[in-house]
Amino acid sequence: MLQFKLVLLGDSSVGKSSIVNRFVKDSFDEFRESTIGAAFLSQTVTIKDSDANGNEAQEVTVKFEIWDTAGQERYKSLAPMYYRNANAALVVYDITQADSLEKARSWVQELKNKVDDDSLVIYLVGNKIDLATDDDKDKREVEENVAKTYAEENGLLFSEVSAKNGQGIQQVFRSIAEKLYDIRKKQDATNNININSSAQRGNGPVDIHLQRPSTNDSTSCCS
Amino acid sequence: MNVKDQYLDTASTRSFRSGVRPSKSQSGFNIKTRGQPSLSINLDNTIVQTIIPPVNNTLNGDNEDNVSLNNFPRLRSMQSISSIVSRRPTRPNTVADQLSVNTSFDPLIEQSFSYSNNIEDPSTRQAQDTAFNEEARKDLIDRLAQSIYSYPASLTGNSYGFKPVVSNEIPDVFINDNQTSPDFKSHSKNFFILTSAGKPIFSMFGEDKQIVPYMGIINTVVSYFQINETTNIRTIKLNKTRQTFAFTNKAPIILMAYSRRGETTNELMTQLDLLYSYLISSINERQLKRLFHNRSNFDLRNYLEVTDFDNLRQICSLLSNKLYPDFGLNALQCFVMRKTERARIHDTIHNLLINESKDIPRGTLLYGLILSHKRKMFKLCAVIRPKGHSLHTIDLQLLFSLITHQFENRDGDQELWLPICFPKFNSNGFLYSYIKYLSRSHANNSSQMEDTVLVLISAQKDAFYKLKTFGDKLWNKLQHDKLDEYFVKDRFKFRISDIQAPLVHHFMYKIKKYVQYVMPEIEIHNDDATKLTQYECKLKKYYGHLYNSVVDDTGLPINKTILNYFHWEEEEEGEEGEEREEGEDAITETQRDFKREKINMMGLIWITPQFELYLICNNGVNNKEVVLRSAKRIIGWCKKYESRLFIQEGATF
Repeated sequence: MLQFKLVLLGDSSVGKSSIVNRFVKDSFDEFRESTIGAAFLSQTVTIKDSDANGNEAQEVTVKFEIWDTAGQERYKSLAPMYYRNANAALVVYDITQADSLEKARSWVQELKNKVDDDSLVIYLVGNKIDLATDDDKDKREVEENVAKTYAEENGLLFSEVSAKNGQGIQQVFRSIAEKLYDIRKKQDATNNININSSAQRGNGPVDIHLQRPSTNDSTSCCS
Repeated sequence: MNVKDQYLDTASTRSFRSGVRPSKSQSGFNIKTRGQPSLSINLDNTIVQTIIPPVNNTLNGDNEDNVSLNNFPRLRSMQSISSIVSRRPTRPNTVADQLSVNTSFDPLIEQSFSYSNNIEDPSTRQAQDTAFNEEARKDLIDRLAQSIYSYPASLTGNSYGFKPVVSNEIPDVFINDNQTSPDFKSHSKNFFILTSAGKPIFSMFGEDKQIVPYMGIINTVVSYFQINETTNIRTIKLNKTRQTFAFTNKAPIILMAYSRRGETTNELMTQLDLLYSYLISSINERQLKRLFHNRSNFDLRNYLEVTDFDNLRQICSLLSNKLYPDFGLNALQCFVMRKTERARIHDTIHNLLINESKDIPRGTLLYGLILSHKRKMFKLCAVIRPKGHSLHTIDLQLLFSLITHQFENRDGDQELWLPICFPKFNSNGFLYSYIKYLSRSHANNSSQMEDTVLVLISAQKDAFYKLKTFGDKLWNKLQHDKLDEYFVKDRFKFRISDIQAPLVHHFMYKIKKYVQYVMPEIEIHNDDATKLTQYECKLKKYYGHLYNSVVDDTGLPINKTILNYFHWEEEEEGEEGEEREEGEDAITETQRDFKREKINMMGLIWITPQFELYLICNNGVNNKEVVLRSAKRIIGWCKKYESRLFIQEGATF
């Protein structure tokens, strides 16, 4: 089973916890307490793995370890602990709050600056589309194509969802899982190629010289 | 009332009558309280007599819980029995030197049973006459036993088939608050928190537009005293309306408490300290100073979260409407388990800490707790702490309030990582708490949930995974060794009747060394929330009076060792009864047929350097010797079971 670390970031009350709750429990609370600090939980998804020829689908289980962080400014100093070592980040904004997209942009920027890992998957999510249905369009403050263009420019995945009615939630996590799985497969492949190529050159298995194990001699001062 | 002279220590105390006579529709009565530390006993038997002015209050209260016969329609004569403590029938009668009222159980049963036969209609009587209905008899014993405390499983582990019902038949002699009124001024108690610039942060009751003017006034009053007196104002008291305003100035924060409940300034000040401590637990003092240093007119509400306001509200309601001994006694309650069981749990934790030092290097874990959580109250199951260190109870209470709230509508299977400042530990920095719900079970015969929570505290921001690994291993180990069973179910709840302490209704016993206390379980039939609140409020007020009778203005006990009896009794008799009989529809049949019990309550407070005992007797009890003997029995019982009732050492490292 593959394990991936995923972190949710975004302004307060954009619905990060609700998205997680919809994903993990498939339920929704209208009145949710704001998160203090962060909550840690895990959930698995199964994705279909197709080989290069597109046939022989095989099921792969992916386990997400999710950090649901508090959006409040005052917990900002804790954030690096959560996104460090993360494989994926879900940056959430509220489509009825223009400010929250700005906040999301700054999160994306911070991730790009602080996380060296190029393979970090960033997914931009616009939540609460249930509030802006066709009859009630004026509640929407962030147009879909604005966010979409921004996402494309910065190489982010993007979709709009509703944690309340569940629209698009599972798909978000599925596509993250698929993307991470692809990346992992490619990494494995390159590793294999490296090993194979080195084997072809006739060097045999790589000798790794580890540091000499320390003796149990209690007299040695720097064991 | 000639009994007065019998057990009055001093010459008859002055008594005030409230100016307004209660109207007929109200079932009002006048209560006089008397309390004076009568003997202050030092342990070396030197008697120190301390004279303090007697506490005199006259209260006017509603009398509804008094005639609570509703649960026992067949047993109307039971009213008098309610004031007699008796033991469970199965208990051997070892106490020979008891009062006459306290004779063995069975004659009482017979007596009341025959009485109840008389008031039943003939058809049932015939049925019962044919053969003595054993079932009915058992039922009756059950009911009787219920009316006074009795518990299915006592501390000794024996179980009886009694339904867990607790009598709350002590009269309410206090003013009942009208909490339902929409007008916030009608509340008998309120808390305000504002910034030094006069911006509102929080108030227990009242909309923004209602409270803003008050914030201005509070700010002005506080500033006036600072400028003109160069000292902080503590309190304003209006004797006529019994209103008290207490102020705490913790610039840049100002707090004010308002009370019409006759609370002392000191009580209100400690309550304000808890509220301030809560603020500091979520924004530490350094952050707070910095926020206001840059902008003195900063609106702190933008910085706080909905959760913070909910927590503040929760703390306010605990302070004003719940029996909250954790705070009042400044001690914690402990989950009762056998000495060997607790030792095994602590050993397991200790061994794991030593063996797994790879996962959890020394210094990572600062403090650890396993808690049992029920009805928003926490009990300690196990403590992991460094030798010679422990956290302040206030700090732990703040942690508890955070946990309660965070898990209220969260799923048990997530783990939390909370930054929290412990103001009494270090008010300028944060510690980090790993919190995990271990298990959840239904409490005995009720819908109440009992949860077990693991809390691991570290000073390191990024210690989550280390603590998580340790926590998982610990829980697996406890489950593997079947030790988790010891604390997922509260098997050893006890009631007052489990202790051979006649005439005692309720007590709280604190051992100062452990900063822990015990009290009998409070439970109400069918988990009736309003009844429970009423009952807790009653107890809270009795205990409050009791405590205030032996403390000076600064809130400290007047002597190292104190023994004091406190009385609440009715001033007049007869008159009210007549008045009520003339009354209108409000009077029920029960009230007409049976005269309400006379209010004659006694409490005892006993403080020594080792322990504190607070004790409330049943109504009508007036024999000090018996009460003192009961108090000694309670202390003896608590000492006997000390290792079960208290965590003595914990897993120290």
